[in-house]
Amino acid sequence: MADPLFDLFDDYAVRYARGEHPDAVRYLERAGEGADELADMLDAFLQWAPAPTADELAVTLMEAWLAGQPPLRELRVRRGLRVDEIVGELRSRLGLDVSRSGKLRRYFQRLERGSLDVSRVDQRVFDALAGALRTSSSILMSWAYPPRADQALAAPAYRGEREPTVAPAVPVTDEEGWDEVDELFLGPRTGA
Amino acid sequence: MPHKEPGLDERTARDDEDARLLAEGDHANLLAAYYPTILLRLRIRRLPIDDAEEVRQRVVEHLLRELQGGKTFSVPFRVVVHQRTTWELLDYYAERKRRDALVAEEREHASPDEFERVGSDIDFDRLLAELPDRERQVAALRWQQGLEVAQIANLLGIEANAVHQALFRAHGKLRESLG
Repeated sequence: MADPLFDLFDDYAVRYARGEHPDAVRYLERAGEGADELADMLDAFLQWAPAPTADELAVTLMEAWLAGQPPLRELRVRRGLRVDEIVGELRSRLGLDVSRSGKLRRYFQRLERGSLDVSRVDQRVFDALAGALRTSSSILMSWAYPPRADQALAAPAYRGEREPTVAPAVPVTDEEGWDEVDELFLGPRTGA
Repeated sequence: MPHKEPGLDERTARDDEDARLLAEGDHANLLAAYYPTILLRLRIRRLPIDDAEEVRQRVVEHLLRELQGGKTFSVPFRVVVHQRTTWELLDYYAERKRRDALVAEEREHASPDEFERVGSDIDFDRLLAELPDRERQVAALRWQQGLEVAQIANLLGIEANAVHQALFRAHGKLRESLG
């Protein structure tokens, strides 16, 4: 009666029901050719399973988001941390020289404001920030997208068709030159 | 006091909680509960993370507008969330031309009560409804409460093998209906 799709589905569903956060994408990868079928099953399951009650942090971040405030800033303030303290933690965790602090600070503030393209930010930044803010990197990434300015939605227009909402991938200053800090926040340099 | 069947009232509790939050206008709490699940559904559909975030924002913004506008819903809020997510996902596909025009035609929600035709059950409910009570109960205990097979067997006074078989049949039904 061995059925890999049953085993994957059952394992995912049980872990979700227990309040864990199983990575659905990993399950799909393990399903091989059955990935599409498993995706349909997991999607149906997620619509059926009762949503877990939101914890206090999630409600706070949602309140900030609804108020048009960047959730990451709210999280830092809630943790009682000043920008300089976060920058110091980041520098230490990322193994950067103290001379990079100024640039790091400017990038962090852009990230906090939501004016960076999150998809280009290195995972190490989120891991380091998660340690500093005592949360998980997945929660940080999830809330790194601030509310859009155009909350009065017009017709849907997805990435590729809409106006850019984040600054283009340019270094924070021209004088300092491209370095590892730029790369951490903007991704590998292209077109140079 | 009426006897409560184990495993069959989890979603009722969630629906009751949602109704309370709706009545109190606690939109942050209400939306925060569904925020992770919306993204999960989009990631399962293999949307790149930034596209998934974009679609999730649209879902939440749409819901927020409706909530702030005092809209009332003919179905439980969880159904509203999931249906809205599905519609936004279809819009996304249509705009990215990943699906043909038929997909767009599927998405007819221009009626005054766009949830009128949705109903309060989703696919999973419908297929579970076709199962005998005991199997439905086993599925709920396993996939809603996360109990071990042995625990379910003890709770219901049946063999562990019967629990396995019930789960396997429920899963088989799901595959069949989605296939």
